[in-house]
Amino acid sequence: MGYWVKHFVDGTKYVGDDNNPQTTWRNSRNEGICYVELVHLDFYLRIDGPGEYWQSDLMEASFPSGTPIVKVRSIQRLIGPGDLYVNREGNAKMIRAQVANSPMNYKTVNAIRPDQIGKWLTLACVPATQLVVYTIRDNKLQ
Amino acid sequence: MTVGLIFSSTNGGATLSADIDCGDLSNGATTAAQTVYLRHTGTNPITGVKFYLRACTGSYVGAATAIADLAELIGWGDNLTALGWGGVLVNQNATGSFPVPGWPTLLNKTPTDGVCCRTGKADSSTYAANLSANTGATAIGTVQVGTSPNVRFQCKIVVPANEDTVGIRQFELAFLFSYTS
Repeated sequence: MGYWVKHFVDGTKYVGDDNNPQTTWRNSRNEGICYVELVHLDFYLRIDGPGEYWQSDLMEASFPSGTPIVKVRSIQRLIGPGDLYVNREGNAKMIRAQVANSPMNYKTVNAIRPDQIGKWLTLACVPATQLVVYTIRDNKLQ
Repeated sequence: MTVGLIFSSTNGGATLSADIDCGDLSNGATTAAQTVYLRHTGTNPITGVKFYLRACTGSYVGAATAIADLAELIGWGDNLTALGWGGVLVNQNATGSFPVPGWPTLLNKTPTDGVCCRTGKADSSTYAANLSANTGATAIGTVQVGTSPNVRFQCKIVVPANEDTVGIRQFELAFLFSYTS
C-alpha cells in the first residue's frame, strides 16, 4: 500500500514498509536525517533538509471488522531557527518541499516567519479527496 | 504501517466477525448493555482515538435507508422530552465497572465518561467523542500495545417511548485514530 524512506546524511537510508511492522519509524534511526519520502497509492511526498522528522497516519475503522482505511497520511519536519525558506513544487499527487536558508529555483518560495519557528512543516495526502496538502502546524500529528 | 483494530467480546478474545444484533425492542425499552473490547495490531500505541456514529456502510436490511436510520438515531438523542428521548448511549467507565452514573440520561446527556450520540456529539467525524482513559486506555485516546489488557466500553440503545414506526434500524460505530509506526 505504501512506504516511507528516511535518507541520512551519510548516504544510507531506512525503508518503512507497510507490510513489515518491524520497520518502525520511532524505533529506528532518527539522527542525521536529511530528507524523507512518503509514498501512498499514487501520492508522493518529500521534505528535504537536515532536521527532526515525524511520520503519522490518521486512520478510521468501524465495528466489527476493524479494517482500517487511511484518511490522511503525513510527513512533518520541525522548523528550526536556521530555517529561512520553504521551497516547494508539486501537482495534484505530489509535493516536494525543501527547508533551507536560501530561496531555491522552485515554483513556490515561502519565507518562514519568526512565529513559525518551532512549528511543523506538514505534507499530507488525503486519498478520499485525492488531494495533497501543504501546511504548517503547531504540533506533530500523533 | 497500516494498523487494524480488533473488536472482541472478551479481553484478548477472538475477533468479532459479525454485526451485533441488539434484539427486538418495544418503544420505551432499552437494550441490554453490550460490552465491547478493543485492541489493535500496531507495534506502538495508537493515539487520538475517537468514535462516532455513522450510517451503515455494509449490507442494509432495514425498512428505510441507512442515512435515514442515522438521522433518526441522532434525532432520538437530540430530543428534549421524556417521551421522545433515546438513541445510542455509550458508557466508558470500565475502571468503575460501568456505574449507572456513567450512562447518559435525558437530564444529563454528557455525564463523565458517558456519551449520548446526538447533534454535535459523536454524530460525525468532526464531532467524534474522545476515548476516555477510564476505558482502560493509558491516557485519553491512547490505546496501548498488546493483546491484554484491552480497552472496553459499553453501549446500549434506548428506544423512545413515543416511537411508533416499526422496523430495523442499522448504524455503525466508527473509530478515528492516529498511528506512527
